[in-house]
Amino acid sequence: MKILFFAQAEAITGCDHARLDIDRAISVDELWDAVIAAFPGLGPLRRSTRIACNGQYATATTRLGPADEIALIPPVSGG
Amino acid sequence: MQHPPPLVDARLTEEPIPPSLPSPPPLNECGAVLTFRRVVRGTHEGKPISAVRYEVYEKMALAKITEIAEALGRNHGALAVTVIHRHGVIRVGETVVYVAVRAPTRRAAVGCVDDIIDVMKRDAPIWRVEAMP
Repeated sequence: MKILFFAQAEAITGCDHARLDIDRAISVDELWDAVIAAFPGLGPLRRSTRIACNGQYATATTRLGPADEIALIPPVSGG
Repeated sequence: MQHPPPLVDARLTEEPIPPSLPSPPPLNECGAVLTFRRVVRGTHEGKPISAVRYEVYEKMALAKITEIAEALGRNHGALAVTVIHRHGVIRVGETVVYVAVRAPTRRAAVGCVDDIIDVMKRDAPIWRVEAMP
């Protein structure tokens, strides 16, 4: 599963994306557990950062598949 | 009352947004044309800066800005909405975001621009990541 990092998430991980070894559909909570296991420094962002799946904000019930484009969206500051 | 969707022109660009732009297409029903520019301030946290850098999740941001312009334009009865958001390095005084709305009334146009900016600041995946001295 490909995960994109932006802004603070990119600064913390030092990369703009990563691949996690996930081969089934998972929930947003499961994704966060996997992301933080791989990048513990992202833990503090969990409460404020939204997850996007294929360009749409995920909800608590969204299922994230291995082929989906996942992005961590820290609090935005455009506009 | 459900309004028809407005004409929408949404763009992201790394190029400077020109000081003058053609306003959205003239439409007979429009009594108000409102343009708004958000520009880069010369200070950040009390210190002078020369530029800022914005990062964007381009694919999602363009879709989100288009969705915001369509939904809020329709809510306010606007007939045409233009939104241009810049990213990359933007110097002090240059435009970060340009919004233009044609609507039947002043109140509709002002409300539409205000709401578009508010919702973009909440939902468009765009980040100000650096202030440069």
